[in-house]
Amino acid sequence: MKRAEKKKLGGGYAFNAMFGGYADVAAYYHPNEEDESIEEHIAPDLLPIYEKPDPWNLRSPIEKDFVLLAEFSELEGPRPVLTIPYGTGGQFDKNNFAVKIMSVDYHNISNNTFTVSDDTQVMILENREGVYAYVHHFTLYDIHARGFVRPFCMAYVTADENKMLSAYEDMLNEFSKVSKCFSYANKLLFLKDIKHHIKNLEHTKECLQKLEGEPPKPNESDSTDENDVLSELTITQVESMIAEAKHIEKVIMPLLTDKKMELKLKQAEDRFFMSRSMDFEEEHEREEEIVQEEINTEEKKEDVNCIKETPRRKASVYSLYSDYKPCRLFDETREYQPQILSSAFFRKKFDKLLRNLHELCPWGSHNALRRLRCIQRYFSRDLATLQIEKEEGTLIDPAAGLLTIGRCVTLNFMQHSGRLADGGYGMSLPSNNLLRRRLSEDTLGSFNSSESFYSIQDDRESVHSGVSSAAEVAFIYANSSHCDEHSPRNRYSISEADDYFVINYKEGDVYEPPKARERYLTGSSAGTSSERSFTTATDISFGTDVDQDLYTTRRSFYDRAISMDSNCTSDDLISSSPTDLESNISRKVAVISAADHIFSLNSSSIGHGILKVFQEYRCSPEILATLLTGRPLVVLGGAKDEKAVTAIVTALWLFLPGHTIPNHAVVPCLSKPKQIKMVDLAHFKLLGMCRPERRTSSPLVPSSVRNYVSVLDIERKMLTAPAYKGHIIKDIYKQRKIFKTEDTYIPFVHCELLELATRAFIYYHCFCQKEPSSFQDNDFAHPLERANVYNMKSTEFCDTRLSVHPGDVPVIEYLSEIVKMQQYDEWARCSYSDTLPTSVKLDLRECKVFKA
Amino acid sequence: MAMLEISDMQLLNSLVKNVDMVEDAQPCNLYREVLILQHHTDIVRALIKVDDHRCVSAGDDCTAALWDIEDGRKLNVFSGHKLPINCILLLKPEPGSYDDILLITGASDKHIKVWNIETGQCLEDITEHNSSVKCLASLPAFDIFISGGEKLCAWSRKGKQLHQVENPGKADIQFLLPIKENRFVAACEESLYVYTVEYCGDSCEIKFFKHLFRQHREAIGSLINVPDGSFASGSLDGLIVLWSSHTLSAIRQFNQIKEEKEFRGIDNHYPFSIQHMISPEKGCIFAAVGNSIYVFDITKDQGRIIAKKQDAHMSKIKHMDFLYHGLYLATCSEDGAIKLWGRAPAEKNDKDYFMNPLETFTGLSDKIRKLKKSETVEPCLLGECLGHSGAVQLFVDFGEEGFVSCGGDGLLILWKDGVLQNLKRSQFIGEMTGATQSSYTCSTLTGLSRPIFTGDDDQATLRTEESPSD
Repeated sequence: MKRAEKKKLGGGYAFNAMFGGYADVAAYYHPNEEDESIEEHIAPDLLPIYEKPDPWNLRSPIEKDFVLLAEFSELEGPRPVLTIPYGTGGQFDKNNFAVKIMSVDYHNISNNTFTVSDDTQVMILENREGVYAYVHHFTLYDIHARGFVRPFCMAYVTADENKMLSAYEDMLNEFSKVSKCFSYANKLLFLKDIKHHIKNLEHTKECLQKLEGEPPKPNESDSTDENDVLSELTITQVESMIAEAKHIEKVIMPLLTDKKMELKLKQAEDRFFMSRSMDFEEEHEREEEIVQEEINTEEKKEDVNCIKETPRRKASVYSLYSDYKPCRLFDETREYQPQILSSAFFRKKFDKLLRNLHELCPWGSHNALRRLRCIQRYFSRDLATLQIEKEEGTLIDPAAGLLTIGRCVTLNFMQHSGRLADGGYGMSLPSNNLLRRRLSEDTLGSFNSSESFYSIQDDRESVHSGVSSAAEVAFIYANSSHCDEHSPRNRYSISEADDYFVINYKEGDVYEPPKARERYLTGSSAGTSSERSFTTATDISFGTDVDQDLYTTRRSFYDRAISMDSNCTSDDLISSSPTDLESNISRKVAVISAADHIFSLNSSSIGHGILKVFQEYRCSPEILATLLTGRPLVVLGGAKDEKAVTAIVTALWLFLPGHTIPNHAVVPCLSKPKQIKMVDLAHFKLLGMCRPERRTSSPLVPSSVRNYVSVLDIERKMLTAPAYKGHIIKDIYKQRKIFKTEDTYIPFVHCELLELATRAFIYYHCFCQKEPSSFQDNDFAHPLERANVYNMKSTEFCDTRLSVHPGDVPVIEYLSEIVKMQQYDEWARCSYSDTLPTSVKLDLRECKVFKA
Repeated sequence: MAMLEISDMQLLNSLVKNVDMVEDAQPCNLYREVLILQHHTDIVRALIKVDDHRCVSAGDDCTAALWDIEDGRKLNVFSGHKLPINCILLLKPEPGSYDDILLITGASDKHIKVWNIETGQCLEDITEHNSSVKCLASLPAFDIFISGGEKLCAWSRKGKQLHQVENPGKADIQFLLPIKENRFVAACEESLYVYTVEYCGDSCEIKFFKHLFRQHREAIGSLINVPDGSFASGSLDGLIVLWSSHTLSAIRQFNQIKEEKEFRGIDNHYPFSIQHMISPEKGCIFAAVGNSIYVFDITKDQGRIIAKKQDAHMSKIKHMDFLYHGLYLATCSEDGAIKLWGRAPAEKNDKDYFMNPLETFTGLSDKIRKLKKSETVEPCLLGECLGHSGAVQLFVDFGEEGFVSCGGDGLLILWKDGVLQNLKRSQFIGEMTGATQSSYTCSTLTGLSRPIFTGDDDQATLRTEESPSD
């Protein structure tokens, strides 16, 4: 607050005359400033240009939020290990900061006996520098380290104080999970080391005892290290060391109870070793390559930032997955061969480099780092976005009631009601096994059973949007892509052009998985990977046994966002093939919050270019009405218009309600299109197509579906669609003139659509749910009469209660129908554990041809 | 195994030009929602109604499937045949018994299979037919069924062969029609043969009874029972013959086209061929004659045409039936369309159902129709159900639940009354959510106007104080 005042007055040098002098002015403006230096009494133009922070306009050295991982090195003291994303915080003195944050906590770890210390969290608010940080200290254990401890800390560094304050709890939660990833793997390793150490000690003790019995050999020519060691040690010393080690073992043992986590680590390890052992098979080679690549990029990105390491160390990091023998955490087959204690151990010379993070947390570190990246991506967004998203996060549940337009969460029709969600009808239970089973069958079977004859989907080059249900809604955030652009498997962001529509399956990929199917069908025994792939976003899989109550009560966007990401990324590590990953993704529906959409508008966002489309097509209201009434729209272009078609589809997507993929899929452009078939109408709502170069006898939109779709022909600038007579859409269209840019217009559109959705909400609750009773009793003599009366009543309700023009009634009806369909599907899915065919609304309205 | 597909070009090339186009908005067409039932991978040729909510389909992909037509669920798949299934038959259990309904499938692979429709289990695999099975018929009086192909066989419910007769005709038997308790007609090319079944104790014998006097000059395309104790046969040359089930003599003939040149048409197109007939009530036969619909008054010798729609479709009509309790007469055709016919909307000032389908169809009560003797009514096109991308083979009506059509594209399309579906869903959701509507409205509306940045900061500060710090 105070700073804001300063800023406001900062420019007022012109009026300084009335205060007699600069000194007075300065004294007036900040009497409490501690370190007033002489420079501030001098006119700014006289000051030398140097990097002293300007107190008038305090600029934080942090341009972008980042995560800093630091450790207290035995050799160097506090040092930064890595930053996420790599290379951020350039202006910022990380070394200094590392010293600061590490010193905060170091006093905690100075006990005589070994104890496992809890993580500690600190918030650092450096107002003067404009640096705010959440600091999370955690301790890793290392048999070679002093006191066996390796203090580490993670810090989320931002320039936004408010963000720090409001997101503290969320950060605490998320960082705790990361810390758990690190430390669990670490503890497993430490326990293993300790066990070996005990064996070593016992072996040493035996040797010592033997040695005592024998007379000393004075003229030992080959004085080995072993003998050296033995000569320096006494039995009592060794015994005390054994006692100490056993104490540690006792302390650590009971902490390792997370079987789920262990299983995941084990899978990661197994998968790695398996892929290595089958090196010759091409498939696995490729897979490993990916792993390798991932590791490499990771290392390059982050470890380069480490303080320079010796070549040996570097090599070991790189070779962790290749020629270096990575430690097997879970290999119980080989008996450990005890050795005599090495001199290095008890002498503690501390001239040897200790193990790095990856070595300390085998299999766990990669996952933890991924998680950190997700955290960074999530929190680095604007505070307003974070908060709106958090608010809107409650709108996701129950999923069946969610209405989205343009993939943005608009409204939840069933919020606060809970009756549909609370079970009883078995609806939207994330842990419902039936649901899971259904989904898997769905994905693997039904889509592919449709052969190209009756659908444009071809086996190979087809668009394949995957299948997902309303229950599987997860948030993603649009700006994820640019942070993760190095990651080879970044498929979650809608902002990448090829993400939103399709995952191209090769036939083999999809038909192959009887294996995969089995896995999904056999429930929990088949392993956690199946669980993970179906967990709705609220159960976070990796590293969560953080109490579930907390999660159920506080379901927010970012839970979903992060869990979604980390779910999928942890799949990277574990899932047996890339195919699995792909099919996993296809099961999730990505919806975003309007706030995030607005925050991260870019050239590939949904809705980009909408003003241009409006400018180009005078018939835009008809186009929008087509989308908002659920009539499929085909955007048809010439053979070379692929780009233009894609652009229009992307822009128009902003107005497409619904998000369940099998029913509301969007296909930006099919370059090798086939005739649209009836089956396609059930799946696609917005479809881009390019006419093939060579004219074929059969048109792309054949007579069998022509009556039910609208066609926007961008080549001939023609639209075939029902005429629009309402007002709402026309208003949205007209208002574009007030908003000069899309940055301002798209938020306006979101508001208008929300308005529309609220009307549909009232229609849904007050008309749809009450009206059927009046039709039930009254047995209409003629079904046509029933239809007429119903339509009349509906129009009347919209007119009198919602003041909606009759021309807009189909829009309201459709929006509420979407929710009804979702709920019905949800119910059917849970009660039949079977796929129901999607019903297609046949829109028989009269079409007109509009010249664009 | 190539599936048929009618492209638009073919349609344009077809000879028929003056086919009615339906009104754009189709105000009288109630079928505004469809469910697409995907299972078959080849032409679906057979479709049969099991009960009020289920049907069985079978086709060239050698499988049959049982469907729930309320929500389009696939209930069972019957697979095992190696060649396309030609005909299916349902054997209902004897009244009073709790047995499941049996499904009989006859296929080109010379097998007849008996399935339990509820479990999908194949109960019997009959191989003794020894020739491609073309048609099946049941004789409920004896609890047996007969199969036709190269020969005729009688089978017990359990699949035991009871008797076998050679077919006097040269070609395979195409149609079987039980006409009386112990008598059935078999159609083979242009000939009709009548057989009797003698059943005593365990043995059952099919006896050749009569070769019906040769009337048809071309192959028979349709063979149906007519309610007043007669049956009718229609053939490729356009001739319809009405036979007495008792005397087995021809009563009347309709639509006789004398010149061979005429009935053969251009390129052997057979423009008058009878593909399908129905007789929904006494005294009339609805026939699919080429591309046209004819309604014959069979009480008169000359076969007066009560109603007629010339060139109803662009290609030959494959099947016709009444839908929605007689509200529509539907025809489906090789051109891929299903058309709904009825009275012109203008004439619909009285909203009551007429007494019988014919009245509904023509919009004239029997009395008025009899008064206007000479007038031929032209039905009005009420709607067009387009969806199949190949020929529509046939459809089955389920009244209010809509109807199912199957076609050359391997799809089954379930056509539903859009408004009724909408109401049903609303009702369903309403029942589940209970009567708390009013509260939703308030809470959410206030929720929307709630400021976005509230109290969070204070809480955060509190939290900060609690947290450990330096």
